Amino acid sequence: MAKREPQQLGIEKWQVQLRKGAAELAVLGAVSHGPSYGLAILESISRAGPIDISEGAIYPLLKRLESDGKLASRWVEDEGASHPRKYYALTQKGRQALKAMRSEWLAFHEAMMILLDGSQTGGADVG
Amino acid sequence: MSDEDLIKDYIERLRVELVRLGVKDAEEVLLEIRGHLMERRAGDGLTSALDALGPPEAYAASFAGRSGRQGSRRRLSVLFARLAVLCTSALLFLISVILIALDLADPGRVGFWVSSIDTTFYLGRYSGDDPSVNDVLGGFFLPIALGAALLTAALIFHQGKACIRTQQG
Repeated sequence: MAKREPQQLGIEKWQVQLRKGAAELAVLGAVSHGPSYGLAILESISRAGPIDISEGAIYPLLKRLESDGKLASRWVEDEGASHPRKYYALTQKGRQALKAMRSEWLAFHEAMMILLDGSQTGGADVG
Repeated sequence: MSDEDLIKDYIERLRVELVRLGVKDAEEVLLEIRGHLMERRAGDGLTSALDALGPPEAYAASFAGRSGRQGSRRRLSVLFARLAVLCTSALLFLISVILIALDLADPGRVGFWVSSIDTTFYLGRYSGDDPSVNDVLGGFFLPIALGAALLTAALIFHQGKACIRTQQG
């Protein structure tokens, strides 16, 4: 059976909202592995799976996280790069926020799986 | 238009739109976006990068909000409001403590005295002997003063913490 595109299934808007909701957690998670800059953060999130934070969204989000005190930044002149890069790292507040958000996410995931396991084994269809 | 010119044009248009952010914040954003576009150009992705960022006018709006100058101004006015409450609470606390001390030192002479003839009133120690002037609170004066002292102390503590939080942003 051919895979249907989200637009055909009518879930495109839902996907967008889902990814928007997860964006902050995804960025904090990506930075938790070590200081990183905008493009590298985008690439590591993209490699992880279908989370897809757009290039347009990443920098305002990083700026907001920095203003909120969850990230700290510094400019680095990387070897081989023609321009300085702004590296972001988690602050203590960011680590605490990540820990709390991770717990919430796992609890949310567990609850959804309980609900979805029932639908997979064939609940009653109406209409 | 060459890739260099495309990047330069985008950055200059974005610079105009970011004026509300404040000079330092705007320059950091521009440097970061310019670096991003230059790296994407190296990977032949400049066109898709520019498409993803969108028109500078709209992209600049995504940086607005509680960051930068807007955030600083809002924090300052919140801080001033909290300081005003803190100072008022401190003054009322001081007055309450003085009244409690006076009442303990000279019971019966400290209270809220009101004249039945005119609208004169006194808060504190009344040493006169005018029979028309009476302490309207009587025995309740001390508990009320104690309550006021506790309430204002709690307000001072709460607002003090809030001021520190606001200062930290």
